Amino acid sequence: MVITKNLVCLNRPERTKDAILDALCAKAVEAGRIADVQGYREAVAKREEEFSTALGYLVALPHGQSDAVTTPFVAVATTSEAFRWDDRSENLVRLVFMIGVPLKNRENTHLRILANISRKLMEDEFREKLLSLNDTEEAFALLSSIEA
Amino acid sequence: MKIVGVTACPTGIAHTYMAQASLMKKGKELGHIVLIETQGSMGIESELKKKDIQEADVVILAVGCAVEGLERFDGKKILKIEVGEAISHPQEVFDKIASL
Repeated sequence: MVITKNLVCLNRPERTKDAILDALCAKAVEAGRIADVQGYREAVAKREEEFSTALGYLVALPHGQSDAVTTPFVAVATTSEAFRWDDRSENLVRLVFMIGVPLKNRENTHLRILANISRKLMEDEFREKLLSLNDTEEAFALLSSIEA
Repeated sequence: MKIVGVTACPTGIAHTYMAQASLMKKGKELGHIVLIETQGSMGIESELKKKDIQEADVVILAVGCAVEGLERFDGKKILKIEVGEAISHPQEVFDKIASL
């Protein structure tokens, strides 16, 4: 499983990129997906430098490829309010999909799920539904339906 | 119109596929036939067929890194854009195509 229930959190109070990444990293560590938070954060920061992963639709997809990641994962957060992701764009974010992929031992099955999730995020209905949910269980069920 | 394209980004994990979905969705809305090949972490997928390239009016390259097989598009009308643009502003991409 790329997404597990303990990687999903809803209506978070964070209002900055760093704060929400910290919160999601804590989840990923708890779930045993990241061995070295510092190393992972560096990979994510490097990716954000190439271009911002907030590309509209209230979504950001920060991601890092690093051996600090033990198992591929997606940690998902909705925030209670939209916030500005970074200084480079005006794009507001309420949905954060934080992705981690190891450099070694990566399987196509995992990469395929990540590709499917990325495509799914372009569907208005899917995003609206996810943003409307207050129950982690329901959000997890919705997210799991993509993995199938 | 019939439009073919390639999407690719540096890590090939997320934006390659978001851009594909975005262009196909908007293209469908506008009544075009849009076929998009992805060159991402799983290699080349939905590879464009010779016939489709031949029949295409325009080729979109939404790439943020080196891609393979560009010689397939020799002699075609090509629109080169940023991956981010394909995701954030698909309507503008198709406006550009219309004015090529």
